[in-house]
Amino acid sequence: MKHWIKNSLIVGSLLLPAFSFGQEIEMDTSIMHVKHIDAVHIPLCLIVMPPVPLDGLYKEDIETINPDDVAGLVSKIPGTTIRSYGGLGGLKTVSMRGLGGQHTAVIVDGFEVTNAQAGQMNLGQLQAEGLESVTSGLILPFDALQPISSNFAGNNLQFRTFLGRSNNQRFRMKSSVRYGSFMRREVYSQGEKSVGRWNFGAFGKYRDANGVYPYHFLNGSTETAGLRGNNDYQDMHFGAKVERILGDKRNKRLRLMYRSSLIDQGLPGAVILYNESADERMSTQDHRIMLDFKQFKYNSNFRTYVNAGVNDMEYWDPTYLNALGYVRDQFRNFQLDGGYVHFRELEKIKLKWGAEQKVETLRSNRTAFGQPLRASTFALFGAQKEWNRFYFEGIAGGQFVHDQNAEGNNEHFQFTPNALVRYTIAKAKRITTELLYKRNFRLPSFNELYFGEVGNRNLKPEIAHQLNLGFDWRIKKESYYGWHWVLHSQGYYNRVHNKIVAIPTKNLFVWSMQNVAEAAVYGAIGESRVIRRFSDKLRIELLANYTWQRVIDITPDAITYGHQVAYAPEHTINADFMAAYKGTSLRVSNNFVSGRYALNQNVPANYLDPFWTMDLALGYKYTINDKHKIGVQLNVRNLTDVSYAFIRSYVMPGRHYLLTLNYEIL
Amino acid sequence: MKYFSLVLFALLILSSCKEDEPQTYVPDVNQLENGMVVLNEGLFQHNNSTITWVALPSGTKDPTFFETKTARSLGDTGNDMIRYGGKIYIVVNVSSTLEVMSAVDFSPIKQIEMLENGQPKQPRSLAVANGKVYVTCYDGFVDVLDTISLTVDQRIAVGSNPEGLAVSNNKLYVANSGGLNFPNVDSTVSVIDLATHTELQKITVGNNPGSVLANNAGEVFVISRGDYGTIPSRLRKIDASTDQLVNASYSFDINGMSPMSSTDMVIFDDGGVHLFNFQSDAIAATIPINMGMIQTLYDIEYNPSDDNFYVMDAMGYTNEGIIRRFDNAGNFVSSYQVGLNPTKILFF
Repeated sequence: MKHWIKNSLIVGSLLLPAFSFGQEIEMDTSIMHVKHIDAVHIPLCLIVMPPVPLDGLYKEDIETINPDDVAGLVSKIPGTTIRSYGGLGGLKTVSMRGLGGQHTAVIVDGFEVTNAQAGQMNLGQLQAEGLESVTSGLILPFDALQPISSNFAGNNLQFRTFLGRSNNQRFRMKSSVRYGSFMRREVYSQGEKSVGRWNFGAFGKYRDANGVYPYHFLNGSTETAGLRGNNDYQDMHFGAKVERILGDKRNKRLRLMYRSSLIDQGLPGAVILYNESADERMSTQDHRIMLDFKQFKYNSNFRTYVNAGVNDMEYWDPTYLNALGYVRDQFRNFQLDGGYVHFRELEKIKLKWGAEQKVETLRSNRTAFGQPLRASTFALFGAQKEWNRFYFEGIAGGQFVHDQNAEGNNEHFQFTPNALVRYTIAKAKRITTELLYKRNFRLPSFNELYFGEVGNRNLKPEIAHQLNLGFDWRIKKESYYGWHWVLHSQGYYNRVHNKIVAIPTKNLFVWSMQNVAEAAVYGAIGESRVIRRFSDKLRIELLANYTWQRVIDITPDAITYGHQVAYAPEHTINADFMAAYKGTSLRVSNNFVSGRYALNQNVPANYLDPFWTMDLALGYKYTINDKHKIGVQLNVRNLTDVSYAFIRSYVMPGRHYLLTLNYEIL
Repeated sequence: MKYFSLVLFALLILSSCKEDEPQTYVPDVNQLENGMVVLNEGLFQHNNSTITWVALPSGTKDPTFFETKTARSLGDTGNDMIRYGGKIYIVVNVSSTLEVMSAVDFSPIKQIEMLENGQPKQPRSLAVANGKVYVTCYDGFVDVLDTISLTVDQRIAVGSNPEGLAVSNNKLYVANSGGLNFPNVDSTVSVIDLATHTELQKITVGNNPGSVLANNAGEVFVISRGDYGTIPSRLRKIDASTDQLVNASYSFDINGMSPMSSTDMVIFDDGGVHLFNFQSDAIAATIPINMGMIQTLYDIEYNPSDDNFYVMDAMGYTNEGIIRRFDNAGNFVSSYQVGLNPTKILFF
């Protein structure tokens, strides 16, 4: 990567504070009328701490967890199983409630991020800096003006960055420098400013690391150690936003956003016994430009949007044993979508409708792909009604898909309905229960359809039926100083038909994608968040969640009928303890993943040991004149230095450190 | 309720401890006798290639026999195993190692790293002659291992991605698959003079040659595996005295072949198991094995001491394999659970 870009970032991070302007309180206006609030003094702890959130993670959590990427946050959401292949930028995918990663829609600042080639996003390549919140759910909030297509996925992950909010009439900025184990260093800056009705925001990040980490590995009954090499990593991320507030009532917004990332990385591959060679590389460039217009009225909101992205990926194996002596595969994914979504509140009922058109293409030097194209048309209509203690919501959506490549066409239509009923048992304690049904599907990816011998262009969509029973209880809600305790539990049952799996069809070396498997998922989630505020200066928090989940192969006549499917843990626990006194904070994070199987057959040879990792974060922040904040934070990951792996042969790093220095203009 | 989270946490950790612990039955095997050593390939990047010892006829076994003897794992993707003199040689393809074990008690003798300039050679198949072990390596060479010094003396350049090999008429016949150039695969067999260790010529046999088998009559059989699609997998025959392709017109499908006697070999395809007679140069009989019992016929070994066929069933390639034993009339005798993708058996 060009040094001038890196140098500009470093210099920029130092110079940005010089453009400090007056201070006013900002407010999110993305889904409500713009309101002007005069500057007031608010205790720091009140600003940084949301009430008692349970549906995701918010700014302060994100800052103290200080993850390498968004996967480090998503893993804390109950019902989530992360498949991490290790290392900075390493492949990390998410399975939510036992459904494959392709069933999850990833939304960043109101725009869906997709990859038709792989079918799912590599969360390891989505940066966590600048994030304001991470939330997830089976359905989107009814009044949310999110892209229509994202309603069709089984689950959703919503990431909201500082670019996704509107900042009124002041300048804010934040810079950070990080140094860490494995020769890691990075610099990040973000800034935002309003001038009249214009809002501007931008960020930039540079990061590199040689990535070589030591590991311990049990080779038979012999403990062995090694270095996971060819794990170097270098990335840059840029983004900018220009927003214009329109209308006499300042209730319209026109927003243009741009994001890009450039990544160059070694691929360490699996730890292969007795063979430490690894020299494959991958470089990725991703550019996305997004435009939307929103209008808010007291009973009618709408949004129209356009989202275009191009993703270039090159895979390079310089020592492949073919006639050329190497492999260089190049792929260009292109995505263009545009849509309209409207929310209307009538006297007795609320309505939502919209449509979207999406086009995705892939070009590759692997000619077997045949230049695939997918054109999808989405349409959706929903209604919401509240009656006494009941809340009803129903949405019906349809998607028409046209797939084609050089070999031919394929068309199909899928229907995605969902229905939700919620009942408030006790208003005072906000005890509610809800029942949700949803039918969703995921399309086969371009890789699954067309990737050489593996691809099968006759694949049908994978269908999932989801049934969810939820229960919320705010047990304690004392005054601001006191106990706050929320308990949340859910039970769920999913049934997956035409599950797309790779199986050897001709011999051990020729695998092919087939719609052959059936799966049943049933599980339960328990989540508790307790906050005790002793004063403005002192508080403690305990966030714990537990997921019990059975993901069962029910493919008729399969040897593995009734077995837990590969890499699905039965028990997952997250437990975070946090204490803050004045500017000092301590966070201890625990993650437990029970034993799993590397293949669907539940036999001892496939068994992977459970693991429990602990992370520690110690931070200090100091605020000067309520205008400037400086901070330092030390993160110790895998404090107990356990040897563990999410995926067999992909050993994760032992104890490692990250030191972060922050400067912020409030 | 006050300590709900902590109690929940503790309970769940305890409940997670109920997972099945790996259970292995380890017989006291100090002599390799009355049993079979089974090489299980495992799966790519799983480091789960194993050796199973199965006592015959009882079927008691040690599923991790290599670990029992060495306290370490065999590695990733064991492809071939051969017994020569007092030693057993095992090639492990992805780990790129050659393991040398005692043929008396399976104690470890030496692990040979198969690297060239730090890069894995990816050893594939084995043959033996004149005190040497010949190892095809996917980087386009045949390595010559001296069985006394246990060092690689020489590398002989052949075609691309060589696989099977066999010795006949003091020559080595090596199938050049070109598998990593798929679909533009190789179609030749390299002929190597064992006296000079030089390649004499390449014989074109057909697309994607894989297995090679030589009989006592100076005939070399090669399976050209086609393209797994429109071009079928077919048998070819080379005359080792003239090094000419003498029969390329066999019309039956073939997935694998295995030595049986001086007059016959066992061949199989998806439809069944057959005896191929060298004299008639044709399938002489089909062994009436109930193919419905077999999910994934991966390979067959004939055991001359009991005149039985041992069918290696890979069970869909992702489940533990089963060796199904049939007598020479095709009657089922017994079965033995082994590891993932059983591919080679040595009888003792």
